[in-house]
Amino acid sequence: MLITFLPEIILFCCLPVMVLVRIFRTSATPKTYFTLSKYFMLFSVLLSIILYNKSELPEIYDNSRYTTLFKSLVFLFSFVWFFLAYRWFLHEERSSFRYFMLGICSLICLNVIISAHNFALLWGALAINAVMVYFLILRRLDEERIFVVAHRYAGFAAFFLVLMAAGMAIFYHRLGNLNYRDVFSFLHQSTDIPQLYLYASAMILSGMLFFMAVAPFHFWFLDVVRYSILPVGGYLTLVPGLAYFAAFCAMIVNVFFPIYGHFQQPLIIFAVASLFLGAVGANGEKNILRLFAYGSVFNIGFILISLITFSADSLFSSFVYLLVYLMSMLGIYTVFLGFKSQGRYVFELREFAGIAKLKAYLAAAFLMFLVSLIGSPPMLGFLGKLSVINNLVLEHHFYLVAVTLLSLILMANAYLIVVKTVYFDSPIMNFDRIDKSIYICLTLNLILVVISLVQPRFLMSGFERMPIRVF
Amino acid sequence: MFFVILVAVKWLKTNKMLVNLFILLSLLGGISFFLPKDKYSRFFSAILFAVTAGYALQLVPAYQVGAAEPFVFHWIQYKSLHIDINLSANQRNFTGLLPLGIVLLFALFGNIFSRQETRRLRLGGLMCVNLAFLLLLLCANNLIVLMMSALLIGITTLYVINDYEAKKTYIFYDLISDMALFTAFAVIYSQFHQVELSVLTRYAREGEHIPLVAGLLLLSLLIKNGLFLFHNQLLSFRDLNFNRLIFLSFSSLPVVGILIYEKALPLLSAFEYSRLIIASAVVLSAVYALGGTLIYDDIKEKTLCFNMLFWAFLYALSLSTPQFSFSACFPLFLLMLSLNGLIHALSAAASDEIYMSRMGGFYKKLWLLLLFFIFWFAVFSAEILSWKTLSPLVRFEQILFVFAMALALSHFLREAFFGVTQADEIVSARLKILPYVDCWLPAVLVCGWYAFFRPEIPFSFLIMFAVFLLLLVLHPLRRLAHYYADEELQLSEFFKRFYELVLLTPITVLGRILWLTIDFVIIERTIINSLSDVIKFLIRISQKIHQSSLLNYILLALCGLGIIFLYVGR
Amino acid sequence: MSSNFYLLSVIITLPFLGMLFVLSAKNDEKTGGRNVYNVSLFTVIANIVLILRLFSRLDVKSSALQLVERFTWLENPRIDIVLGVDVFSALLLLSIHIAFIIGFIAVRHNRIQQKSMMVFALLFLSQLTGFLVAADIFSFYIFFEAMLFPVFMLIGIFGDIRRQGIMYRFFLYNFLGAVVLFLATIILYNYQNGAVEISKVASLSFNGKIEHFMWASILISFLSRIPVWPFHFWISSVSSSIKNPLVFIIVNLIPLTGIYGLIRFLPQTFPASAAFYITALEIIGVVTMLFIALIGFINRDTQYKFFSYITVYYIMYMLGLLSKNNLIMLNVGFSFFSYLIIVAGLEFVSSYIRSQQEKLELGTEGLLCPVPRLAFVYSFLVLAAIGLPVSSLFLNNFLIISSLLGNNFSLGITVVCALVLSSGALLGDLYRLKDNSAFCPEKGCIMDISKPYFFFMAFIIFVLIASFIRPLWFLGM
Repeated sequence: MLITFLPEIILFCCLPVMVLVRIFRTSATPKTYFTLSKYFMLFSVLLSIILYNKSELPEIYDNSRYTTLFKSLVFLFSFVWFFLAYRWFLHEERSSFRYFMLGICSLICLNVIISAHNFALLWGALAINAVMVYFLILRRLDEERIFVVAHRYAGFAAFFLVLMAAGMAIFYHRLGNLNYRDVFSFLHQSTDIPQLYLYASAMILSGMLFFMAVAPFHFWFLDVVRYSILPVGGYLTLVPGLAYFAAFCAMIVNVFFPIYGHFQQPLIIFAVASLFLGAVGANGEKNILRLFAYGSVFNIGFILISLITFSADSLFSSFVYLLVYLMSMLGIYTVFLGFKSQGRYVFELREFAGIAKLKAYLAAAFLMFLVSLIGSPPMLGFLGKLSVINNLVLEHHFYLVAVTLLSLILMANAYLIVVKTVYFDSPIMNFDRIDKSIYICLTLNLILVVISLVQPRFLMSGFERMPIRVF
Repeated sequence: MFFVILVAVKWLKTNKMLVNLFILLSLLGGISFFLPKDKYSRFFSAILFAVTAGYALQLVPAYQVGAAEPFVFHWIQYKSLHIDINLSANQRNFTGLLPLGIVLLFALFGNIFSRQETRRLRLGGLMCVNLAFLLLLLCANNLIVLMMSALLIGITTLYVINDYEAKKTYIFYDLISDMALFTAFAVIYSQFHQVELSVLTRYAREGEHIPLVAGLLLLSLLIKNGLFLFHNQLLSFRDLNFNRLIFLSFSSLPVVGILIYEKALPLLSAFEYSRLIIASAVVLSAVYALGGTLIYDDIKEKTLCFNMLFWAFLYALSLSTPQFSFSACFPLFLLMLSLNGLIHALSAAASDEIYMSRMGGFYKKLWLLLLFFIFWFAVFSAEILSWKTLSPLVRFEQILFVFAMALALSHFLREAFFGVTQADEIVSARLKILPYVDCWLPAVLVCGWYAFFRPEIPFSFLIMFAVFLLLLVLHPLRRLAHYYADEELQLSEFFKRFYELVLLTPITVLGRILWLTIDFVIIERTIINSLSDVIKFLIRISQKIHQSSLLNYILLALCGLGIIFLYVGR
Repeated sequence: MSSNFYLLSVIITLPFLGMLFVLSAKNDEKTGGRNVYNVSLFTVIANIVLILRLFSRLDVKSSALQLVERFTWLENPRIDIVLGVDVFSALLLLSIHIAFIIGFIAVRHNRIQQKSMMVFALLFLSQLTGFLVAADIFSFYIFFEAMLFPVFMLIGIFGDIRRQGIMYRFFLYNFLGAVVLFLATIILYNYQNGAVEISKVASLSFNGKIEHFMWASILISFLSRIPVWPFHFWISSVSSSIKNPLVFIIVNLIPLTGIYGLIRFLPQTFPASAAFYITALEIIGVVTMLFIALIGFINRDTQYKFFSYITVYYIMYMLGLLSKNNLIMLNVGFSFFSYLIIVAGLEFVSSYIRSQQEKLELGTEGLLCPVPRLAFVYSFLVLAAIGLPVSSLFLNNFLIISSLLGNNFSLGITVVCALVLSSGALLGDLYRLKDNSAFCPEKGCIMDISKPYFFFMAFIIFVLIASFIRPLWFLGM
């Protein structure tokens, strides 16, 4: 039991330590909390890797290569983002205690979400994570609208959690437990599944879709990213998505696969809706955070469309796309941290005008990540695009290919508006000096991108087949 | 330079006479291009003349014994395309080269002394290069070399023309002419994939588009010869100095035209309307040229009209002679060159005056020149009228041509030598009995040569000569002198305006309409703007959907749930 | 034939490395941007040396791909990058590099955004080089799309006031084309269970619908680059908007990629399913050709006239290639060699005149009167451009047009008409600049090109003449 949850427990230990530091250390700075988080995260991820297949409760909590891969990625992205967030707090001269506390709590939940093989456990982790996110959203103090946004998020999250709970209750009523395996056996063995259980499955899945911000359940994500502080927006864009993706795939493959045919059509509709709402929305958006939030919705649509058939290839291609997209988004958010004018971070598109003339390196990195997001070769994004489209062609979904590529053109247009503003418009303001750590992160990210590009095997080899272990 | 040339000649001494000539001329052209343009230009021009003349003299014995040396250079050797450049020395090629060489020597000689020439050396070089290309044309035994040399001569001509308006007029005519030739040959090649000249005869038998090819060839040739409707380019040479004018008239496009015509005769004769077209062009050109010699005030224009009359006559001759050969007309060719030289001498004597209306009464001081003119006419008419082997039709044509020349020249001489003097006093004072030897000497030498070697004098000559003298005395067309004052007529821009109206205006209007309709209305306004509007419309919808209103969010969520439950419930 | 020394990879990489060097150069205002410029120029010259080395290793009599290099890029899906070169692509490589040198010389004194210009120019060169030596469908597609990005940036930086709309047009047309090719590439890949060498694409067999779809995709993607109606609009807008000679040259190399794509993909004998598209392509091509030539003839903008000329020739090459004749293919290659150099040279001269004109606030009429060196170079290039026998264009045009006439007579005649119009447009422009009857600036008012520039252009002229005398002199053919 202890071994099964050991990484999470270690991570949990970070919380009281942080509290103690807060109480007893008079000069606790963001660096202190980041350092604490860093070591606990490192320890936790090492344990996750070492104990990658140690699970004493396999029926409710799975530790496998699949979960370890996603957990490691979650830790990796969290680590980088927490580092950048700590620099943000340092510059803003704000307390980061709550942020790191909530962040670590959220990480624990995400770990559980990834490994959960029981609906109750999943629901619990989702619920706690939603609460953490709610409080994270509320970290912004200078924006009145944040309360509306946070409350709406809380309200909708609660609604979908209730919906999920209702669905789970139906299964529980029938099976007496909520283990994935049992639900799968039930669905697999029944020749004619009663409508009720299909609805119950739909309730559970719609909850997952809500948290993944798949259109038309994406609305919360746009406002949350737009109005919350940058470390929160970045965290919500980069980290939970990985866990939700892992949980969603595990759920479909391990539970709902026998009845997946019923969900394929709605998922296609949602994927296409995500693609188009994301792309069109981004085209009309003037706030850069919201624009990239639309971009994230678009990318989720791309991933979902690749997942449609839920074959080994589709899972692999969507995973590649997810990874590539997150790397690019990490770069984009790193760049955001550098765009600061007179002590204020700028997020309006017009304020980005002519940055290339003032901050050439930052603008160049921004450009590379944007091109990567468009999926244009030779940038890394191409690998993701290639992987997804190849999979769709392989499965003869030609009309989906057409739709996807059309939406990609629309999305690219939105990104090009950003490129145009950054490179070809005249600057309207001066920018502050940029923190060196941002340069370091960007450079590391770019090196990773270049290496992955020249030899994708370095990135993919070995663990490229790992997500398929879910089968 | 001299040393370089000597070395080059020695090095190239391969006993391949025409090849050596070709290389020598090209080298001379190239070297003169790099020499300083102002310093010692007369000296260098004299060397140019001397070297060319020296080599020409070397060729004379070979020409006399009819030396034959085969030489073929394999230029292009692709799998399915072989192009050879044949520069074999044989009697035919020597005969063809002789008058052209004489023209070059005349021009190079004139170039040494020319007072109006500012780029003497450059001109000399161009003349040499021009002859090198003419040599290629003469010896050409395939379509590509024929066309290539014609086009290259077009380029040298362009550079010889040093007047903007003339250049501008020339280049567009030449473009049309070259493209017509190019297309005609391309059509021929497309059918047989053969480039040898014999393919022209084959095409005349088996060609698929004979009317088009013949039409294009005729168009090209008529333009090159500057016959009626295409005479503007020829007349535009009036703005050049005499030396350039004479050189271009006898060593560039008209010669190219007639040489290609000679080679393309089998094909042209296969087209039923060729004769009609050529005949019409000849008649109209002759009428126009005769009119020009009588009416134009500018003696350079008159000269060009004399030349036009000559080229028209050659075409007329080709219609009536089964085996037309340009080489048979070389005496005439050289005599026409002499006439140009004499007119140049007249102008030079009158302090380079070029307007007839400002001449008159020159007989007192230029009586010797007048005698040269009369002598020229005598030799010229005797030369033409002594052709005995001609058919009755040709007989009629030659008499008509001599009569036209008599009419035009008598009018010209009467105006210049016996007309009421309107020359400037200084001009009159400067008149000398024998001015500027470079202008008249070569002309007189040619006339003397033909007069000396003429074995007999035909009776018809005496009649024509009498008619000429009569016309000179009576001056029946004296009233035409009034037209010198008619500016509209003298400018002769009717055809320029005609082409602008018939060709350029429709193209301009059509282009503008297409530009506006297709580019702006269809693409910019319709396709691109529609796409842009569609994207804007979608953005508006998206913005409405994503307005931060709770109701919208609820509706969206319900919509999503509705879809999923709807599908699951089916 | 495999190669131990990765010459092709080096040729692709060298401009990229040059770009990195340029990127790392600090803003050298003190030297007037000379570091950046010299590095760029040196990079291209070094690449030319390598290309000449490549020629020495090439069997010019063979039409097969040579110096083949193969790398495994991705394992899932398995993608091998294959590079190879034949005489045709090697010729293009050389001419493109020469065109780039001309472009670099033309922007020697350009101080505005020189670093950006060189960075994107070298990046483009690297990608274009990669495109020309790509031997498999994936690397072909990768370079096909990748080269759009530097061009987009260059248009954005150096376009005039209308650039915003133009950039989007460029993007819309080209990205659409690239996406369509991507689709075709993926289909080809999947139907063959592995990366396909381009030379084998034509011989693959598919079922009816897929075959139709694939050929349509391939043709549309290449057409998006070639200025045929309605795809011509982006390039016409860009051409008349760009005043920077290097950028103009680069933009006008984009249609080359479309033509090259057609050459590489189209089979020797078209499948029945492609016949309809080919006929449609011919009709659209020839109509566009005439249309653009007409507009070029009436338009007074020199850049548009160049565009018109460039378009007419590109479409002529395209139509020539559709005849699928080996001799014509080879001739198109030779012709491209001169054509690209001529276009670059013309743009060089034209940009010089434009800069003088703007500096001195003069009209265009008579500008060439007091500048004999410039006038000579311009005249020569125009004469070469219209196909007179001073470059390999003459013979190549003859063979291409005769082939067109042989295949479809009326089409051939229309092509000739378009050629006449576009040549007329160029000549008209030349003689407008030489018009001494209008205002003719005094000597000294407008500067002639310097002697080093003149000697450089004289060398270019020599290369052109050499290409006429001996089309493949540097190959010893």
